[in-house]
Amino acid sequence: MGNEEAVFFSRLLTELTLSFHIIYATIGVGIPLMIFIAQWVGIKKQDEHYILLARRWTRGFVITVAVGVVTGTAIGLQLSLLWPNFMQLAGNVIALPLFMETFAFFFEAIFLGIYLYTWDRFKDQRKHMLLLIPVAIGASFSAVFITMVNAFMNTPQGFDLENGVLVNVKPLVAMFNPAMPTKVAHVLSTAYMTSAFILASVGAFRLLKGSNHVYHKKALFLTMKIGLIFSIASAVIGDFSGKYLAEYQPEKLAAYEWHFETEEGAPLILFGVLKDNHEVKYALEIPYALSILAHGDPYAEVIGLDQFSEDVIPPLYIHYLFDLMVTIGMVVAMVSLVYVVGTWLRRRFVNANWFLWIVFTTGPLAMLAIEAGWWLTEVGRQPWVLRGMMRTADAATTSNHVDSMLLLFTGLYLVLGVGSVIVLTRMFRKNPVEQELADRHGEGR
Amino acid sequence: MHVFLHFYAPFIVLIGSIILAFWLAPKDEVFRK
Repeated sequence: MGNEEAVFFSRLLTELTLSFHIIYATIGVGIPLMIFIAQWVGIKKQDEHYILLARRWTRGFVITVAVGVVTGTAIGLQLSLLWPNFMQLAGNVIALPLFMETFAFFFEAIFLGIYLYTWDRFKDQRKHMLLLIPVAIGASFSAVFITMVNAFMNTPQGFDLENGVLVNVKPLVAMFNPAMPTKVAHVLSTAYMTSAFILASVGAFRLLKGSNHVYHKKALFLTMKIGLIFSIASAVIGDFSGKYLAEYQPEKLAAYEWHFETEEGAPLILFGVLKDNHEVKYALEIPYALSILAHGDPYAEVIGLDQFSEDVIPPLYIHYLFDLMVTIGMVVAMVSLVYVVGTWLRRRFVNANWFLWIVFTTGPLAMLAIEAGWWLTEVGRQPWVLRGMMRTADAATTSNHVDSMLLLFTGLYLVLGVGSVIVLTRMFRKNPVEQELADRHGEGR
Repeated sequence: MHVFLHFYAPFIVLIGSIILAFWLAPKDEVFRK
């Protein structure tokens, strides 16, 4: 295996690991907030349906956390094994946020354990609910710290470069780099959004499968409201990301948007197909929209790809990923808006099967948008692993065995993916809501 | 303005959304007869 092949397989294995991990990581970051909100509403309203929602979501959440731990450990290992030159260069700068991420996870896991074992142990339910605060904070802050590392790879700072070595390291300056605020806020907002839509899909699926219990309708209304709020927030923060990119990574924004020529009053290209000689066909052009996205001014100048040499421009297929992410974001926002308003106005169509099928798609679609967004930002940083300092091709291992590692990890993820789905479906199928509600009444609660 | 847009604004939107979610979540009178 030559060095080029080692780089190729290293990138493929990292992409596979992260694409699989992000499913469980997104759920792991977002669900604690959903459980918190459900239990809070249940206590506030004295409504056992919401309390049961929190209980059942927690049971499923534990399974996804377990898989997230395994895949998170895999990516931690691969960071050192597949990208040794990157870790040798930047390891002492990103060590602090990497450790903090692990610490935040332990913080979450310890309180999640206490939370699980103390259901029904407190006379005052509110005290039990308070345990969710460290769980939700730990989950969200593990995402904050690991996203800081990713942001650092886009806008490295907080050190001096002497003889190819990073010295005078200031970890906090490195963590609070220019890419951090928009990246962290977008990651958290989309994780909350996607978790809400995944839970909405579960509720819609139960209603489609014949259950007509008000429990599922309450679950659906609650999750669609939360999904609507965070889908709008994600779009607003996405706009801030555009303004950040225009200032700090203009080549990345120009590649996202197929913006080839520097110009004032630049249009935003949506969809379309790229032909030879930078010709874009079948696109929807929105006049002045790119200037507004980049600078908040319809007549502002937006730097195009003509200002950069070929060897620092990322692959241009990423525009399709941008289209996919933005389109899904708009679709799930619209579906949730129609559902929430329709339910509020007691319209019948919200309970019709055809509409519930549309609602059911929001969860998988939102997860696809998460994948597309991460592929977009990672491929958009190429050719750099550490922007302006180290190329991805120079960071990889020269080992001859990465291809066999790829097969090994693919097998592991297949087992974990199939196994977690089987466990989750059996867990809820064997203990349906109606039965659990009846059982709890049988205990005189 | 620059620091506000690039640093504070994303977090203000995020935290505002979390507060809004807690405020809107209990409003389910549509299920109460």
